[in-house]
Amino acid sequence: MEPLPLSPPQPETPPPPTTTRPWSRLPRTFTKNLLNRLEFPDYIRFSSVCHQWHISKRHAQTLPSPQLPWLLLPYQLSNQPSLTFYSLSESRTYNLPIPCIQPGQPFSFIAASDGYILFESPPYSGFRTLFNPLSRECINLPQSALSPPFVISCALTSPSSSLNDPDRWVVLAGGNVIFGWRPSDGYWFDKKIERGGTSVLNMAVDQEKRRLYVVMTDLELFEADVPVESDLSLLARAPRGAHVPKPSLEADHFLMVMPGEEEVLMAVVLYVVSCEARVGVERVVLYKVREGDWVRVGAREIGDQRELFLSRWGSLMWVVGAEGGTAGRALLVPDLGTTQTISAAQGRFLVYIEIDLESGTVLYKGYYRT
Amino acid sequence: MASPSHTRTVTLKSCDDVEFVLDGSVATLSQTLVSAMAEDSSSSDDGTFTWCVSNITGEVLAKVVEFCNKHADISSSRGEDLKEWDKAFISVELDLLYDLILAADNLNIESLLDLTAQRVADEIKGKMPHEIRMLFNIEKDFTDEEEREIRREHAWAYGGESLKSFL
Repeated sequence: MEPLPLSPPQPETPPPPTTTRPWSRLPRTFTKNLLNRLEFPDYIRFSSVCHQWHISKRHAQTLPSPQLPWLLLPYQLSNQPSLTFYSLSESRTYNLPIPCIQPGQPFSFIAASDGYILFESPPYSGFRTLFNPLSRECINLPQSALSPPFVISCALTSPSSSLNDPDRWVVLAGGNVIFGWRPSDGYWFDKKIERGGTSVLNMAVDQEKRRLYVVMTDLELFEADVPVESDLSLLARAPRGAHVPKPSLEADHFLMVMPGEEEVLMAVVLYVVSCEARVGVERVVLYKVREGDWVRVGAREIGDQRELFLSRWGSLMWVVGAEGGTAGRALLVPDLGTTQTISAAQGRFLVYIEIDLESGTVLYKGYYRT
Repeated sequence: MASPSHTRTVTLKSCDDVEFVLDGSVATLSQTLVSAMAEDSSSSDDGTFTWCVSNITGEVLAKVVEFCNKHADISSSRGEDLKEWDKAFISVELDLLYDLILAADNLNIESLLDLTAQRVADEIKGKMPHEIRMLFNIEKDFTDEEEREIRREHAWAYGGESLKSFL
């Protein structure tokens, strides 16, 4: 086994110090505040600066939040199961070993929620495992007769550092089935949504209220409390106003459900990307459930960019392509020209770019696989 | 009963005996002062209250008072302008930044803790431990064995690969 990397030795003539203060000693309230502002890799590295920082991180039980998403880069099956992520905040890739997958065993990535990654191994087998890169916890999900054969979305309720929190549910949605499981005692439920041929387009959870929101492919919006004991209730049927594009599943578009603040309880963000146009957002609309109306929005109205596409506590999130997902103010630019170096490795790639819709400024960019 | 704090004037005194007079409403940004004023009823008659801040010099306290004055001023403490002001305010040398952290902690001023923490978070961002140590002049006090042990769990975090060249 290769020895783990160590800090490079101190240079022989170090530059003059930029500070004379004892930075290893920081007030505890400050450290707690600071840790809550760090991106995941910074958070990890914090504890290996010095003894004091190491100790203070152990005392702080908070998870850093909210986090910028990581983009999942294409992965190939190898003897050492791992996934490579692209960190938007650092423009750097990280290769995470996945200890819960047997070496050499094929697996597929399904979804991510609240800092957990959901795998299926072998692919399409229904054997699913949750993995937390921070705690390195691995948990196998139970199978039920109705367990969705193909999972579109995964969400965890009740922000908590532990899966054993009795309020914590893992909810999967796919096809026309909602499946929930409580890790603390193994209790599970499943619920079919019978709506004549439609299936789940996306799902979101209000973590604090343990409320579930499901959008079907015909843009009907349902809600239910977790655990879902009775039929889901129809919250809104998205109207097709003059300025709202008729959603077509053939077209590339995002649909995102977002539990919001008081005045916008629920918002549906619809991204339509033109197939012909190179830069092709046709429009961005929010459906405000309380107001019952579509609103075309600019970046400022959408509000803080982080809120839109991050799970509240999650440290990882998959930014997905044509099949729905969570992407904030995203533009999808099929641009094979600039991605040739990577696209040669496997399949087809898209460039993910986040653009401020008002100013046109590029905020983030990265790659992900289709 | 102490009178409502906003009706009073607060005198802050630094460890090197520099005094600052604050409006009561400005002083309420500091939870330490709020608690102290609530406990203190003796001087409420003349409407003044004096508080000695140990370990904070006049130079640092002047910055803290400048911050509190700005943030207590409702008319200016909204939106983008304040953000810009904060950004300029916190662009200080690391020594002063450290002193501000201690002052914010000592006086329990939440917004100043937030601002200083964000500045440090921005400094740390993307840096490897040895770079952080160099920046903050922190001595590496781990043995190689200890360092290996700490890094073992998340060894991936120390081996990121920059993708900048692709973008």
